[in-house]
Amino acid sequence: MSADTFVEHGGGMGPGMGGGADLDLSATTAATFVIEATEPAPGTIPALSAPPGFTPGDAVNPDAPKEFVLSTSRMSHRINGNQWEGRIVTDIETVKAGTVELGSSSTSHRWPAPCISTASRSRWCPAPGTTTAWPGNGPVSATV
Amino acid sequence: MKLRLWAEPATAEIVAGVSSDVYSFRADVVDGDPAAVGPGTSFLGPTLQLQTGQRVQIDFENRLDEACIVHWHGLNVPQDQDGQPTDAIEPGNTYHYDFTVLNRPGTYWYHTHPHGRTGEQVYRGLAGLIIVTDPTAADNGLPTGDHDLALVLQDRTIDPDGTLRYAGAMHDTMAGFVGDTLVTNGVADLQVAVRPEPYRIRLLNGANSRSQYLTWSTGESLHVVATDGHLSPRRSPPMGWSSPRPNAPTCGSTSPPSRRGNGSNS
Repeated sequence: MSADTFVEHGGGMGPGMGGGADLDLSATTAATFVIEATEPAPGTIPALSAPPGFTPGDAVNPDAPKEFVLSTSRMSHRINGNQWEGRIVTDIETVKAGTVELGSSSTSHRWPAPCISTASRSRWCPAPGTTTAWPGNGPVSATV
Repeated sequence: MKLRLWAEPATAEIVAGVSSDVYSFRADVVDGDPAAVGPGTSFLGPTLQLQTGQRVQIDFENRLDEACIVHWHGLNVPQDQDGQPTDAIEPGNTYHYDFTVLNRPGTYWYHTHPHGRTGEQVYRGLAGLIIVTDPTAADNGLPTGDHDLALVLQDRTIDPDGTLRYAGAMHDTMAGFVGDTLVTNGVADLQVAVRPEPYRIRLLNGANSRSQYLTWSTGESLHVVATDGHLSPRRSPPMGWSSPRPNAPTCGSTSPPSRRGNGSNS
């Protein structure tokens, strides 16, 4: 398995204030799979159903989905224009454990937004080099 | 289930034949299924096998010489069980966790989380996988057992004497650290013996800043079947995308397009 590494500065666990993305698409080896010399048994990749226990019908706010407009200003990440502060949990950031809420997030900024953990996307992240749906490259919508 | 978990200085052979000083999580089962704590690899902590609906009690002991705490990344737990930086404990102290696993089956992870030290402590080894299962869930048809593999993707910069270097330059501090050596499951040049059959591969990008676009060197497809702790409702485009922190289990077949002997997909 090879890895075309995409070095995206900022947004990591270490110190850093984010920044533009440096692309390093040199292929390196992440792991080597040594295949046993036996008759192949290809099998099939299962067709999966909807995620268990998680459907829009379970949402407690079907008529008032939350909206998260992500942006970056003055070296800080913002939600709906308010600076995201990890030590202060606002109402919009709170979901009661064991419940499902509907919401959507969007960003048009080139910086990745680290304050949203996406549980289900409305579409898939594309490969590097494409221009949409990756938080660092353009608008994206997601269900959180 | 009751576990004992601790963080301590250790050594690991990340590069073959070279010993590196690292930090590491270690654990044992006090009460419950002994299989709940799997073996760790290299500097990585043991894989914790948890079940949806299970009550988990963990005594975490800090055996380092600096503050530390454990964050259960992706698990839905109460605030005081989440291992936030404000919960960090000093050396010699113990933090008592007691929570119920509410999450769906999937791949999660745990890592240290003190303020201003998370990146470097994870870099030095304080991380491990959590695999949540649900014995009552319907069989989803995915490969299981020894056909269910987990790969933790990270990067390191390692001096010839084994010393781990981290964020030594201003650029690293400002922009995020990127190591020059890919390390998978705690070792460089990981080799995995497989049969030419479908496998489920759980991928965790535990790197500080490096994202990876994963492919087979043979050009075959990787199919994403789940992400961030839940199965996907449909097959993805054939790709494997892994950015730091989200967990994206994939199902890839190692079956080559034509019959091969001891070949390798790398």
